Amino acid sequence: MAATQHAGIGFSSLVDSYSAGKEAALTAISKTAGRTKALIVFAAMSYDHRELLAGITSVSGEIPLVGGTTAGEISPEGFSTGTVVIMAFGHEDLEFVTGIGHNMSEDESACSVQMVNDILGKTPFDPDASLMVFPNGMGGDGLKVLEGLQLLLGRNFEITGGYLGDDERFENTFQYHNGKVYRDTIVGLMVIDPQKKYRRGIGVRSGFTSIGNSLVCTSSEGNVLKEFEHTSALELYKEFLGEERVARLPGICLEYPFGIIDRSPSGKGDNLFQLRCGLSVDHEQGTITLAASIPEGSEVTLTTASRGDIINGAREAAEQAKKSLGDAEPEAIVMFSCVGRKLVLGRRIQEEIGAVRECFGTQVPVIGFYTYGEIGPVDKSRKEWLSAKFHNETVVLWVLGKQ
Amino acid sequence: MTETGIHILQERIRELEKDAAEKQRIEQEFLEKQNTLLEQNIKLIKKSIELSDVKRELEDKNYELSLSQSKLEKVLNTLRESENTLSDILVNSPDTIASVNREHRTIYINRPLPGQTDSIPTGDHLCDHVILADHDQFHNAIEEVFMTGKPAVMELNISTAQGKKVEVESRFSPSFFNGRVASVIMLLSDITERKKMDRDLKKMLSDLERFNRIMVGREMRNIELKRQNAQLSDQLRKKSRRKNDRSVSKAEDILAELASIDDRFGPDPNSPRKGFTIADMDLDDNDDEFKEIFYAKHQRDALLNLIEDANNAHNELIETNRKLEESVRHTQEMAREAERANAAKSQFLANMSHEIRTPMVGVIGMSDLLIDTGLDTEQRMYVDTIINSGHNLLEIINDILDFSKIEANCLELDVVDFDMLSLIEDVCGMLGLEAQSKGIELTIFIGRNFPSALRGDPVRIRQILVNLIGNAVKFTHHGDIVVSAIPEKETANHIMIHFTVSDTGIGLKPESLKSIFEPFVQADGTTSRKYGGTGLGLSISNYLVKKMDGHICVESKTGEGSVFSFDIILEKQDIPAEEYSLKGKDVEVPRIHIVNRNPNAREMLTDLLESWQCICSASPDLETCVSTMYGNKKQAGPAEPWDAVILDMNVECTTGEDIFSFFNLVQEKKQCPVILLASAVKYAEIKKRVGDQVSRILQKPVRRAELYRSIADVMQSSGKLHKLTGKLCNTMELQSIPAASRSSEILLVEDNLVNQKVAMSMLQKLGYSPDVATSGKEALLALRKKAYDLVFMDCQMPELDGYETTKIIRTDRTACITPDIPIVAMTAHAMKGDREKCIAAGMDDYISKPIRKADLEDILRKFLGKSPSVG
Repeated sequence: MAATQHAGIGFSSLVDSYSAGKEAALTAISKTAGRTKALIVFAAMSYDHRELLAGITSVSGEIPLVGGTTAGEISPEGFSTGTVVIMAFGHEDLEFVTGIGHNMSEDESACSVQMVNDILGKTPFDPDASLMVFPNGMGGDGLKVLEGLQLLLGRNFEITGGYLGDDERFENTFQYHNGKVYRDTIVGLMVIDPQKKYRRGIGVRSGFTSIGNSLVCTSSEGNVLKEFEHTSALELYKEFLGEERVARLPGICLEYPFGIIDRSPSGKGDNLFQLRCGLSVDHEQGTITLAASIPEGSEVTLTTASRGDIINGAREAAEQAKKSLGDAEPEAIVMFSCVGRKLVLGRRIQEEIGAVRECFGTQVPVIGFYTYGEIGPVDKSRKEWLSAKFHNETVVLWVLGKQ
Repeated sequence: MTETGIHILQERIRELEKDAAEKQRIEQEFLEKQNTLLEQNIKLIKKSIELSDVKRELEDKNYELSLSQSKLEKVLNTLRESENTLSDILVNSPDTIASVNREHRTIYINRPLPGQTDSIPTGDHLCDHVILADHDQFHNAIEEVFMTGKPAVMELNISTAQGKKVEVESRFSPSFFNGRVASVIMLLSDITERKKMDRDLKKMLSDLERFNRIMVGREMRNIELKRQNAQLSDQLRKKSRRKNDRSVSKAEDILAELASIDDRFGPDPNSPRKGFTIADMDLDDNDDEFKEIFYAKHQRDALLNLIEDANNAHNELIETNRKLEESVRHTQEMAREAERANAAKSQFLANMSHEIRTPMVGVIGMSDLLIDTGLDTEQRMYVDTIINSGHNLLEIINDILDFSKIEANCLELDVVDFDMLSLIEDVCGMLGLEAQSKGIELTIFIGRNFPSALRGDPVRIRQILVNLIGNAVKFTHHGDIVVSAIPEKETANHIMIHFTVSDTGIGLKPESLKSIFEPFVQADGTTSRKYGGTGLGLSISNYLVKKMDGHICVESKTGEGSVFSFDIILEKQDIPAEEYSLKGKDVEVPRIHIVNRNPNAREMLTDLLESWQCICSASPDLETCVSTMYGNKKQAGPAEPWDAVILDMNVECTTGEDIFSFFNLVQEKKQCPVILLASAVKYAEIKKRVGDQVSRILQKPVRRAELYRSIADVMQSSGKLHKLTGKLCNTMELQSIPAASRSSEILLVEDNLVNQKVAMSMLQKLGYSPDVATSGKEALLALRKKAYDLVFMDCQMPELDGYETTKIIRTDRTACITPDIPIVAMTAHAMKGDREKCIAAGMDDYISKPIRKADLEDILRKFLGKSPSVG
């Protein structure tokens, strides 16, 4: 076989952690003809993670490895839970460097800075590289992670990633880094293409649309939203929803997330927003707690999407990624989709992955997971939207293509 | 400062004040406008949210629809599969099966005609292959079936391409569509071999007969000849005496010859020749006479030749007889073989029916699932039809299956403990509904001292009862049906129960009475057209009854009704019969008045209540009851008090007022409660109308235990009963166990709305108010928040299914408060291995959908335990 190594995918639904890890790793690595340069591993919370990694490293040895726990796994098998999925990169011309930052919940930005420094300690900075990050999904403000990353790498550096999950228990997640299990860290994988033989397509779409005019957030504290237009944020939200839906709080937040209107890049009235989903509400204080901070003075719009819209969103993300890939041949897809989408989709969950695979063809290897937050540029093909953003309820696709 | 200066200044201040006021006004207006805008925005958003919800709903419906569509496709595939199975049978059948339409053209034919190799295309006339001589007869037979709808049989000859003839037995049977014979189905079997054997046998028989005739004739002549011979010898003797020695020696020659004839034929007992010697000879010495003797001798020689002939024929006869015997033996052997083949055929049929049954169950099961999905009215109607047709087909298949089992002699009876009374009440309850909807009363009459705890095959007894009562309901259009079960002969271990099912239906013709229990016989060719059915039910019942050492018989008169009766012998269980009694030191004798239009029901109720030591009186209608309450003026003494009135709603109530004034009157005169009996059809309506006016409303046919309980309740609330005794009260308590432990917390995990509703309503009826989780995830959340006592877990859920959810509960012991909580699986496909799968996932038990209340109760009793009844 020529130097063009394809990515290999491994999947296991075995219950025994060691065996599952070994099985998935064997399949993934065998497909790259033993020239694996890096592994990405996503696994269900239910495993004994040390055992799982022991099973994987019994096959992979010292090969760089990043990953962690999820709220649902994605692979060519479609959506699954209680499984482990592995992508092995066998691309000879690419370089893969991993990094880790600790104690994320103490200071999210500092942690991400630590992670980037770990990487830059092993390889010189390459502005054209691509970083994929997997922070602890229960480690605090997702936005601050991104701020830390961009502080070091610059606003327009290509960053994608998903916040690791814990099967919707919302307690505590695990990160994997080079055969070890960690808590409360950010792990990352820098993909460097020194010979510029590859292209990376990125798609970021949600399928959610804005309803009504925007409101100004007049009071907030971190990720606690207090007031819109000097009125209690929760009271207003309840007013919008009506009695029937209010009874379904906070679950209903998944169906009606907020969109923070992003005027910075163009200011031309493009209705661009990053979604923020309400996680809990405080009826006494009249406040809503979101998945990430929301600055005072930001313009916020209410959004919604049906199941069909959500699936359509995934399809649009795939089309966007394909477009930014140009005529490069897709060889691997990494997909991050929000756990909120999974909850809304219910039994139509498989359609989301289906839409993506349909767009690229089912022969292209795919791996991914359901996240507690996503990172990705709004539109890679437009310079003003190149900067990575933090999202909720969104699909982020990272597609590696051979020129 | 000048005055003007002051003035200007004042002017300026005024202007400024005015400006300020103006500014304030504008600001106010601006604020108001802003508020209006905000309000409008809120309104806009609210509307949009509502719109988005509508969109969601529409989309979900669409999705459900597409799901239904794919399920429908699956059902269709299953149907196609069973069709394939059927066509497999048709193709593999050794006989030719064909179907012809009104023009006698073939619509279907499974294989070439016997003796032919080429298939006949549909649309052709089969008669083209029938020899000319049989042509008209063939058409007439088909026409006859079209006209009468009755099956027919004929033999005919088919010509083959080689110009040969094949003899064929042809059976014709009608196929009905909308009550008319739409086509005629033919079964053509090659009987050439059989016919040839028939003919050979016939020929042999006639040959034999001919031989016999000849032989008898010859024998007769033989005897005659011998007699003449004797006569001749006699004469010869007399004449010889007069002859010389020479002639004596000649005579002796003749005699020796005679003797040798005797040796050859054996002594003839009729012949006087025995002990015949020369000395006896009376010889004549006349020469002429001597000549005569020689002539006679020649004559005798000729005779002897004839006798020789006869002898040969005799031997031939023996040989023929031997050949005949051989062929008889051969025929018998063939008959035995045919019998074996028949048994094999039955076995094949039994297997095939089973093969058809399996996909049919699949079709019905899938359709049941399908109907739970979001279907529109039209689709629902189609699926209903699929289900109904499926059930009908299944019934027919079951009948055939049973019958072929009987024919193949492999139907075995179970011996298990069961409760006969509830079996009868169950069957009547089920079929009563159908009867009531036709306006027919179905009454159960159970003999006194009826031992309910028996051992036998309840499934088969149920089958007999369903068949007989079902027929009664089917063939009765007005009047009533009485089902009675009376214990007859009883020994220490066994009992014979006599059942009768009498109706006032269409009855049977005398000529049908004899054959009604024979297979495939229906009372009348028109029956199946009008009432359907396979005609196997009664013959299966007959067989089953016989197998239970019993006997079944029927009495009937056309137009007046039928009485089917049978008795069966069953083992008794080792427990004493239930005590139903309302007599004792703790209870006063209940006085009950019955109002019932139906005399059978009146009698039944009176008998039943009296067996419980109640004092009963009865009225056929409201008027009589009312006048009874006013009291017969001629009769002295105080009127009898009543403890309860049992009013059957079959009494004519012209207006709603009647019934209310009746209730008032009962209250005024007797101060006693009313127990209503109502048909299931009208139960809900009656309960709504008068429910609060009466003590209880019982559904007909009345179940013993319910009536007993109602009367006991009445007595208890009037303070006349202090404590229930006997076995019955245990049963009552047993049934109320779940109600007694109402405090138990149950979590129902089920994503399907319909199933959710069904399970909820059942549990609520049993006195629980379960929480519902619609997904595995929700279930985990609920279990984390609250300590439950029992979880019902649907196995098939999207995303996190029942097995996984259970695994999480069991393995991650922090996931919920009670990780060892009993979990009962609910699964739609009751397949082998499902149970193991559930247990392997960590569940405790398993209940299959559709959920039956009895199963649910068992589970509740098992896991929530028998908590002491709350005082």
